[in-house]
Amino acid sequence: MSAARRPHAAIAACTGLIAFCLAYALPSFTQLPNLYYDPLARRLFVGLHPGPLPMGYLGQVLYGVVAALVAGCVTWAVARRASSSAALRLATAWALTAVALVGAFFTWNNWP
Amino acid sequence: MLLEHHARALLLLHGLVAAVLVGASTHQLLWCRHYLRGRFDRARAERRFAAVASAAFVATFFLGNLLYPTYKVRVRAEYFDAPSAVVAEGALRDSEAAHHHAPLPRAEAADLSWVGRLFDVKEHWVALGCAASLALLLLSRRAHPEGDRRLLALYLGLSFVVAGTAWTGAVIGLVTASFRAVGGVS
Repeated sequence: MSAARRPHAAIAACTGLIAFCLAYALPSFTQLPNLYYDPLARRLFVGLHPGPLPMGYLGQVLYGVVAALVAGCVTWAVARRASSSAALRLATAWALTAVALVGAFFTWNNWP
Repeated sequence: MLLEHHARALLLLHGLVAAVLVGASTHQLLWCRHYLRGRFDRARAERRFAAVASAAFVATFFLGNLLYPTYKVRVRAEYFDAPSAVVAEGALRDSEAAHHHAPLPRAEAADLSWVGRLFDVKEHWVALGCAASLALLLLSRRAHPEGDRRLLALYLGLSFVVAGTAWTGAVIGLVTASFRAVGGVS
């Protein structure tokens, strides 16, 4: 089986994207501490929903990036040895669904 | 505030890089349509568009984050979420319009907090789109459908997400920036 027929890179990309989406949304619907930036005091701090001005966006992205790297690297290593068409279809479906679900969650929460 | 004195230059640069992103991601998506008919003769150029779109997405996202503290305080807190500021500006514009014998600007509700919430919707979609663009970049280099047709659905799906979020970000960004720019307050 050639490298092109072994879709571990695609499955790793999918799991990385799924992990990013879920971890990005995590601080918004759990009581997980998040990294905030206070634009007036010009400082970063870790906290729980500290008010309207401090920005938690950076922390959410950081959660997402760390989760994506961990999930992507682990999947890359595991799927190198065993990856199938069924796994690829499942990863494809869940990656696109995760983007749609998390996007819909934030759209619903912030809808004007 | 972080980089407040450079906010206008950053906004201009943010807009220019976003234009590159919208162009590259749209071209990339449109060129993928040939793959549905099994034609991959333009794959090399399409891969280049995927790389440009990904680089532009990351750059736009980074520049937007540099601007965000200024937006959050000067625009969001001091204007969109402050009805008294909107009313005061409306009254001032009415008075200036009367002074110049111009028709009065359109009078609408003073509550512009919906614009701030719409902007938040855009911010979340572009974060997801930026991650999708990096996944698409990886696929274009390591797992392109030219070598394995089973990857076509994922590749097209991610291309659609990247172009869709780029367009969403551009349109909502322009709508947000149009307040106080063209005519009345709303």
